[in-house]
Amino acid sequence: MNKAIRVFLVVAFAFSFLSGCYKTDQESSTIRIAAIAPTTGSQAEVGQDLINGIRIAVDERNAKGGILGKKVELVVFDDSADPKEAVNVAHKITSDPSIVGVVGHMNSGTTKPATPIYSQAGVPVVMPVPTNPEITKQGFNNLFRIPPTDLDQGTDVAKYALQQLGKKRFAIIHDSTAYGQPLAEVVRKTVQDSSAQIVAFEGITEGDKDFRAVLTKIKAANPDVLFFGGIYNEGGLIAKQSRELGLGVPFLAADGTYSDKFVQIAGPAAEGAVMSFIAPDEKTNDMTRSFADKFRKQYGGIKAFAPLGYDAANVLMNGIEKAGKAEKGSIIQALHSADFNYSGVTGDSRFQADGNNSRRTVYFFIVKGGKFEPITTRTVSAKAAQGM
Amino acid sequence: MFIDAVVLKRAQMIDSILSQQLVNGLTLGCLYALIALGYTLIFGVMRFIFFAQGELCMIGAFGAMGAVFWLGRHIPAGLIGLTTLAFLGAILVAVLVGLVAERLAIRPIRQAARTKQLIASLGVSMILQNLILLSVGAENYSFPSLFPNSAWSFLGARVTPIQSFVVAFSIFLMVGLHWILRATRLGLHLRAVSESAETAELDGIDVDRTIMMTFIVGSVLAASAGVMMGAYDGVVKYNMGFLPGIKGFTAAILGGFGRPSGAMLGGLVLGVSETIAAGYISSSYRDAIALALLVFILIVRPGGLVGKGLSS
Repeated sequence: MNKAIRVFLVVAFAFSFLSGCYKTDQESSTIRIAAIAPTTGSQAEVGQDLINGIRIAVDERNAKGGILGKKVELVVFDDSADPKEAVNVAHKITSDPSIVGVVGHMNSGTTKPATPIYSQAGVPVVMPVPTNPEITKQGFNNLFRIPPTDLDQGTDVAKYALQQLGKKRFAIIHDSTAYGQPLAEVVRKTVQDSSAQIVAFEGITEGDKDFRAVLTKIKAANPDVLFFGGIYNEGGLIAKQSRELGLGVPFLAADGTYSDKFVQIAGPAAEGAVMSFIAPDEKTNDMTRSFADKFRKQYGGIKAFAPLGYDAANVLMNGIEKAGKAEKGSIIQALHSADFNYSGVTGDSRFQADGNNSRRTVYFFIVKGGKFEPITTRTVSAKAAQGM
Repeated sequence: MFIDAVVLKRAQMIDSILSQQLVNGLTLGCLYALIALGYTLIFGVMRFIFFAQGELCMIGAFGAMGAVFWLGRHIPAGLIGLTTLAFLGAILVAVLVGLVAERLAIRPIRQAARTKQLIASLGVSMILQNLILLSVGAENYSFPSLFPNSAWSFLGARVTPIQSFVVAFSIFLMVGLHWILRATRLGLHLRAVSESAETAELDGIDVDRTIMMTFIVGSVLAASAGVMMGAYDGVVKYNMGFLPGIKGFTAAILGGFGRPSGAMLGGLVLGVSETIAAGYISSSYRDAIALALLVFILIVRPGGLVGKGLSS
């Protein structure tokens, strides 16, 4: 390499450091917030659905004049539901000082490794969907979670099977991810604390298509209920193949499996499946109905998490407004303040010190005629949640 | 007496689990066998490992989906008509892709070093995956339901129509292949070229054409396996061929590379062992156990289960 090229490279390298020089958040003409979800990959459908929910909230707010006199600019990032990609995105976001808040991610597996990065940079993160309880046990003060955790969901699903369905012999399958496995563990613990038995506890791998071997093993253990902790792709196939093998027991799952795709993949085997979910159905009340109608006009039917995205975005934007300035630290303070209260389509949001929502509701649905019908709900309120 | 009854019931239960797992494993094994045959045949005539065999399955599956989706309404003959349409669509598309791949990526470098050929075939595999990824996305697509959901009992196992079909049709294809190899001119040419391409050429056999025909046969096998995989799993996805491709390759080696009978045996052994491992040991480690078996067999019997292949 001759001298000229070497000099050029060194100068170019030096200049690359200037790429960090953006306008500071105080001086820009818009308020920039980031939204992250898998918009590509096998969960793209529900990821895009979440982004659309966030977008509706932002558009709505901008139509009313924005926040603090400025328009809100939504910057969308894709993490492909891949933890490594999520960390990359987190680095990108935290190295851009003009982004003052984050709504995301979608999966517990991607959110968990990203949170230390956001925490170090002091960026407020409002989580619309991640349910792994460990995320808020890391001691960070910048995380705010809208939905219930899997401690709530897992316990409630197990109790539903124990109390409402009177089941005694549980077979549990999980997908070995940071979402499915801890959730399955919570269900296991709840069952173990009761008089019922765990007859099988098996892991599968995301991306597997043939579960007949493990289902045959489970069938031999003679369960009276099957719980699956994981996503709809595998959940649908497990429900379908279990019926094919003659395993006719009720199929129970949680929010990751709740999706029209589950019904599509499982076919007739989806009938009767019971699932917990972390947001209400559109038919629940007027607010959910009008949100669903509005959403439908622009993006079609709600797939899964759009209402949570809507609420999370609004929480963040309200926090910015309350703080009075688009500054990360003040936003975090505002969201933690005792009088911060947001009433949205998925319920109320008011945050505990660890960032969890002090008002959390788990919704139950059953598949009837190929559609999810609401059955029951269980709400945790601030008083009961003291120990969390 | 009571203990006898309990033991008998338990034995029956174990029997039925075992027979169920065997049914599951046999079905899977047939699919692996078809893919392994493709590898073996192409290796036989070209001494070349065509790594995109799994992707040809995937292309076949998508071809079937496309055919049923776009042309299905014009076929009034019900499930049988739709199934035939699916296979025709799969085979047509896969053969086309296989021929194009052979002409564009393989033939030009036939004389090149082995590593170059290997990398070229890996390239074909990646191109095919990404072509589908970019055109239809990464979602799981539901394969049309071509088989009824009923099942019947056989020696304590529940056998579904799709499982019976996979095994029956695979056997049909394997017998057909055997007949082609033993009783037709093409088969004669194929065996001749596998034995020695130079001698075959001297004997007046068109080697290029034989290779092309081998690719067609390999693509037909892969496409059929792909359709059946789609129907058996119920979903298709752009990367569905990757792992089966590797396992098919493993099966071919297991059976002794270069021998069609070895490929079939290897496929069945792999399918059954993988299923037994997943059922009795651990579902999370099923792939690891299957591949560990390969390592073990190669240490104990390096020529594969059936011994030396067509190449030595």
